[in-house]
Amino acid sequence: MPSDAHTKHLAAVAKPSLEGFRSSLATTIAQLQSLVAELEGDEAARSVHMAEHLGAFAQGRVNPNRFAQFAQGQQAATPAAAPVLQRAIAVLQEVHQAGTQLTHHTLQPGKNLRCLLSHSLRQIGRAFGAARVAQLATAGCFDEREHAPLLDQYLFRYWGPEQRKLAPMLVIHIEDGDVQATNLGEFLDGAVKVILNFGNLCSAAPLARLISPGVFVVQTTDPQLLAEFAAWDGPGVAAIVPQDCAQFVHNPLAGTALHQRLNLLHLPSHAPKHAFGGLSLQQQMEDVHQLQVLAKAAESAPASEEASPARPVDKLAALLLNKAHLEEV
Amino acid sequence: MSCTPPSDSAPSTTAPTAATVHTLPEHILEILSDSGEGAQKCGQSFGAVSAKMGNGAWTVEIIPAEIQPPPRTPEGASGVRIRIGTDEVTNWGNRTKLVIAFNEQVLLSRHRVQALADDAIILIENMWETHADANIRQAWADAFAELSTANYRFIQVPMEEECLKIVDNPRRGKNMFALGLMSWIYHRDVEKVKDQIAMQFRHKPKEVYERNVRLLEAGIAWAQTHLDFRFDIPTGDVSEDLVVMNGNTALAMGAVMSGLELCSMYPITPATSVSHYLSSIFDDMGGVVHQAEDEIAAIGVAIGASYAGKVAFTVTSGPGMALKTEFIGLAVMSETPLVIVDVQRGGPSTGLPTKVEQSDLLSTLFASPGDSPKVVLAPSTIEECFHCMITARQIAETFRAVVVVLSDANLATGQQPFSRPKLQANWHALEPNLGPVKDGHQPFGWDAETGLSQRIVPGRLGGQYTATGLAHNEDSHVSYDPYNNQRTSAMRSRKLAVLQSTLEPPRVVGPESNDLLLVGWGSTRGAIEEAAEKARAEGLGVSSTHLTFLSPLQPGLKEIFSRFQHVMTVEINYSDEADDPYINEENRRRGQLSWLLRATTLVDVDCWTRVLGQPLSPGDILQVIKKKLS
Repeated sequence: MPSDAHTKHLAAVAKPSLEGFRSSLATTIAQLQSLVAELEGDEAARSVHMAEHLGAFAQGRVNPNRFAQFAQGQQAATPAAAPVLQRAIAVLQEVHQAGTQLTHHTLQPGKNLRCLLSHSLRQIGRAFGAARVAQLATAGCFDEREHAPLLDQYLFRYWGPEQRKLAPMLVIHIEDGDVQATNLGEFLDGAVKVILNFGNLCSAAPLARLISPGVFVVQTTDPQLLAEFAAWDGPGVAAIVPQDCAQFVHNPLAGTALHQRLNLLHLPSHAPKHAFGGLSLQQQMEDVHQLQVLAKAAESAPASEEASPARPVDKLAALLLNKAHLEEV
Repeated sequence: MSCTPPSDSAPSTTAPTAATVHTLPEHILEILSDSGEGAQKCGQSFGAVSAKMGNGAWTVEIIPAEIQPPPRTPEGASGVRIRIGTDEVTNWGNRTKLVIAFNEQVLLSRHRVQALADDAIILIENMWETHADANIRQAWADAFAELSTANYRFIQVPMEEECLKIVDNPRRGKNMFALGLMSWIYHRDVEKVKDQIAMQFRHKPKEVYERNVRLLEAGIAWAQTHLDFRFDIPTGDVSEDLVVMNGNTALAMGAVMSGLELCSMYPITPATSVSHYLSSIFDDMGGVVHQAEDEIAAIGVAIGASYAGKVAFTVTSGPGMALKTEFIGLAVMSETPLVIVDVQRGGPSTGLPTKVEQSDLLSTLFASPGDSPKVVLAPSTIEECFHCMITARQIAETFRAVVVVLSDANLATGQQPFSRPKLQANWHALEPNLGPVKDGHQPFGWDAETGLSQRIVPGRLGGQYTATGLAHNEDSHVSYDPYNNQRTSAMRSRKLAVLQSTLEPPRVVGPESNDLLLVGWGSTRGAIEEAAEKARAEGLGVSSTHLTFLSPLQPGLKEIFSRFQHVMTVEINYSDEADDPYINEENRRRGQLSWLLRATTLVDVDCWTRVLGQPLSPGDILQVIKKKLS
């Protein structure tokens, strides 16, 4: 079982990301509430909202009531959109209030990690679905049968790049190590970050196969080492692992070359003894071997790269030579 | 030959028994150095600390025209004037009372423009008097001969010598030593000063911060031992949550808060720092700063982004505006919402790149082929620089219009504390409507009465149309029908009248009817209102009003003007003096706002303008008021 101290620390690591997500939700909720008030309200209410839209500079200089008459003309939304907007607001509020219930999970023994993540992201995605519904309603093209399901779930595969950038960090406490982490790859996009908190058991290098150039991957025994991971604004996966597992940091910020990005800190002293998450002993050995190969490639890389530093003048010369198509002469 | 300044020249070796503390409602000080010696950083830090302590503050940077002017020349003077007070400070004031100068040449530059009070206290670096170079010693002597026409009190300070005890290169430390002097003289909270230094060097190694703190402390210690005076400017209410920033930062923050998502620009003084600041934060907020290859491309990108649904802005200065003129016409013709920030500087041509002027008003309004109506507004304080961007974007979208924000070099680099804005979600616009276009909806379906039409963002089902800068009809089809051109010109122009119908008349400060009404715009507001208030205190019948909307003008001006015997604009642009040779009523070229007001109200609006490359002083305006009413 993960320790309480680890759990608390991981919650603190994930907090800023969740707060950022909730702040976006709060802004959207406020905007939609204001729009509903405008659509449903009387002239006075519209005037108050228009004054807010115009900001302090307009105070005493622009009559918000008169301005509102012309601003309405630019707005596609009609009072008929208000009930749909109310439903979207309710979903957004639900997601906003759920807080860590959305992002912190415990994986029960025998359950599938991928399914848990997929479900969690689907619930988070309801906020994006609600925003989409609000957009459709204000544009006057909401169709109940076609679009209402977006309020119930919004699959990760439909998330756009901006939505993937907004995703809050997920923390999964794993009660036993009998899970397979390698198929999380499909979720590692935008700024989706996942922390897997293994207890005393897990395979030797559960994240080894997730290493790719733009993904922050870290396996460590010390949650204190996650500061860089949390600061990274791209996709990432971290695992807090037991003592004798492989430990490494693959930090895309550390450089463009593999040897700059990958830092292998520790390799298991013993061969794996148990199968985990459907990974046989052989497959686990393969994971460790994969790490060794990558680390070896990283170690051998610097000498050759340093030997031929690409000076701007050389790059330019190479480019010009390339353009000259000398091979055709 | 050596010349010793007339008084207090030699630093005392013994501590004064006790420094006399002068409690004052306000004070003006300057720190002056060669370019690159950090006087501006020092002065702005002092201004920020003063504001954080609860003093009213206004800072004005003294910036040489060249990036690296020759050292020890009056033209190369670089520094800051800081006016601090117990109450709110809205302008740079009149004459400087205390100066810290790193050499006598930079001091001369301020003496020659009468920037210094006759009894100013001057703390000056003393190394030049005994310098090995005879030319430098001579320059020192000549300077003091010239400076002796005033009754300054000189105090020589061995800045170089003191800094060398801590750093190898005093050029990179004198400013912190000077900050120490200023902090002691004005009773600044040393912890707050250290916090400011920490913030300034937050991206540097810790030892850099520590070295600068040692220099600060050395300055404090020297002042404690050698100075016999201190100034106490009581602080006001510090319970209010304040922020301190310059106008360009405020414009950038306002742009972010208004939901503008793209800033496309080309570097130009004094506007560039808007994009510098923006580029450090915009990406994290989903925005983009695009540095284009030239001014024309910059506005082209902004128009394109805005046309595609992301309302954008471009930031420039007068010469950049000149280059953007053709594309401004395209935005007007295609009714693409666009915000343009023009941080005005001295002109014409390259002019005075680092100095303040308000000379772009008429060119902004009229420098365009054909009729090109646009909205022009001018913030008058640094706080308004922030908030005006929100209003500008809202107007641009509602009216499908080009909105030009006219700031200036005074607002751009000056710092002032103001209430921390309470952020509103409503400042951000909702996403553009991407739903299918309803049958019959035309890209320019002008309302015959208001000229307004709903824009169609590209990509909407059924919303395909050809965007063009050619004359076009409601469907955006090119049309050379003469009546169509007359009608569509009226539609574009009508929008300004409609916007004006939503505006309130400007506020008159002082009695509603009086002998003289001063009319200003932009950054001169503080100086004008202060001068008018002083004039009223002396029994003169003066009121003032400040225009923030310049196109369309705020309504009711003619009626307001009718309540005053005289109306006079006060501006930082050029006008002929009425009594100059060859100048008469028919050929006199007037201040730009004056010209505009005369044309629109048919009132005989006089003007007083200056193009000194520096902000107006309330004292100078007061003299003008007296002359006008005498």
